[in-house]
Amino acid sequence: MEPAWRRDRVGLPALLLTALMSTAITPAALSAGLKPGVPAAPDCRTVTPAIAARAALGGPGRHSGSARVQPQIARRGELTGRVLSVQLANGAAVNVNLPVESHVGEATGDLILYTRHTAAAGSEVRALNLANGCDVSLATPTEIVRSSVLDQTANFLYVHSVSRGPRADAGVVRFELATGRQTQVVAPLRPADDFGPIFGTGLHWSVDGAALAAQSCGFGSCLTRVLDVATGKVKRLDAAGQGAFIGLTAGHLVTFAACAGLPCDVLSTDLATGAVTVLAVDAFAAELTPVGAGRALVSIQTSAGSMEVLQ
Amino acid sequence: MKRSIALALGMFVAALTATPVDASLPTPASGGTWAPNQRVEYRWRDGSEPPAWAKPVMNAAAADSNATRKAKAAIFSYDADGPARLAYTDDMPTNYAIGYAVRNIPDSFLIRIRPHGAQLDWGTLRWCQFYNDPPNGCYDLEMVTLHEFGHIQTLGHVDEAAIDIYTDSIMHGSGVHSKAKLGWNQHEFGRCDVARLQIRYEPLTTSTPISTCLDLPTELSLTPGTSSIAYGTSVTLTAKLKIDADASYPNLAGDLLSGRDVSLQRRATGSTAWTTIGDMSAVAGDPGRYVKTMTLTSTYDWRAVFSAPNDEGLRNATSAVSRLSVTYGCTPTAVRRNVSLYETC
Repeated sequence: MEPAWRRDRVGLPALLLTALMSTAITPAALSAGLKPGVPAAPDCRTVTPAIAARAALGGPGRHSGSARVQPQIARRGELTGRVLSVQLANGAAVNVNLPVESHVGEATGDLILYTRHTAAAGSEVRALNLANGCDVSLATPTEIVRSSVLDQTANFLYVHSVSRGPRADAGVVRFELATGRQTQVVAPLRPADDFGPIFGTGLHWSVDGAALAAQSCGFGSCLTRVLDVATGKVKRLDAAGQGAFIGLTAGHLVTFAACAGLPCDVLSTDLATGAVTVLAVDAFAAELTPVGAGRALVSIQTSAGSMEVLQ
Repeated sequence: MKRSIALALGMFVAALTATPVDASLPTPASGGTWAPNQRVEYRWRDGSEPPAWAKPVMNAAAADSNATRKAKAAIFSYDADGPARLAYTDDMPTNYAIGYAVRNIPDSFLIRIRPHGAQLDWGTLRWCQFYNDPPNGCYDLEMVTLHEFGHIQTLGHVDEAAIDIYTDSIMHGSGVHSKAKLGWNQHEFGRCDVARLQIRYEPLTTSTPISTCLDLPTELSLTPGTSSIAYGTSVTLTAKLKIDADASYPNLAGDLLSGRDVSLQRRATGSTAWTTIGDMSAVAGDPGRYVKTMTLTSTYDWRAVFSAPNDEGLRNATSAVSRLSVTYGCTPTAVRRNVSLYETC
């Protein structure tokens, strides 16, 4: 609680000025339709996609600002969109309004990738720099964009989309940021009838960044296609009972079983043979810690305690 | 690891061989269970409170679980101070789940429901109860929430190849049906869900019907109380009906069965033809016990018979034969050929 003397001396004008300075003065704010203010922002118009993407090179968890996504749910209970709220390195706050058809990735280095699609404006992948607030368009996919990730070099953008109209899986397209060249690297998925409609698809890098997993899930179970970035070969892992993605190593895909909840068994699928092994029964959490050479230590929490498995 | 897979495989093969090939299998389940009939109260999660139209629907799903569990599974009810939570939120652990359940037995649980209007790969999630006139393709929130309560009860997803018809379970892993496909608004556990709940928690009472997704042998005993009785004396025959002690499921093996139809049969000594004398009466307060009182004037072999009804997953049972010899206070003076002994003195 602010002392009364200070409230009296500072007064309403100062409070308004403080509020103005703390919000919406960046190029991100401009792109989000917010009014400009002070202080001066960098000239983001000169930032190319390739340059913008380099802000991700700091790696996961090493970013200057902070960000969170707030779903917008109307009084009637309908999801109407999301707000990406960012605290920049200089303390300024930025809010980016996103449509319902949007996806916000986790911050990598100083970069947050987000996608958005509306029938009127089409699809777009954008990169928001947490350090300087530059919000740059990286790609404008022709289909309905669902999510995207950058590779470890920040030279390539991988985008997952669904087709307009039937919203069938449109596979994964790689955008070369320097040239804008597009290459379909994972073909559209045509799951078996008994798999049912695809509810969600996620793009996840292997621990060494050499392979990209595109995991598509139906109501309760999933299948994963693993792209070897160097060779361009795609391996499909669709043994029954596969659930949510946990991690990918050079040799194994680690997932939950098809539980749609917790606790849940943790499975390991051998990339070479497709053989599935149960790593743990009734786990509540699992995560991978890279240990080099494409391998990782899988730490699993169960009600009985914790365990670690090298994969 | 290999041992656990081999064990799981062995259990699967055992389940297949123990069950008729044309029958559905109980819904899979795993993990620790709630205490018998444990009450678990839930509240709306702060910041993720469902809209007005959704609250009664989600409460109805809890009531559906309570009403159709047919086992001593957990009982769910709303309480503003409850330890468990229901959330209506876009903040889901996966990008594909429309419902997500986390159980923390024995204390609480959390069920998340994705909001109306969310975009999935296939299109827009629509909850039927959002509309006055629900369009085809919408999902029934009560059914989906009941599905999540099924997970809270420890049920997993059913193997679609292991059930006869869709409505045998609401725990479909390949996708619950949207309007207006079969079972889209099923508001009760399927028979194979109930089977697993009964396996894990025991039937609600001894008279609760056993799910037809099971096929359990039964055991019937008959106790005459004596092997001989004086002519014209009244005797009470007692039968005891229970699930066979060697049944596959430990929680069900040996469970007493009340409220069933048990009949009493007799045959004359030396005969092979059995005659049904009548139904035995269930004894109130003595589960699984059935009695019939008779006044005997002749020696007969006796047995009790349980004919399993079609709406239960039980097999027929017949008790061992008991001979009750009638004795006489004096030696009969005349015995006519082909007529049972009768007292003439």
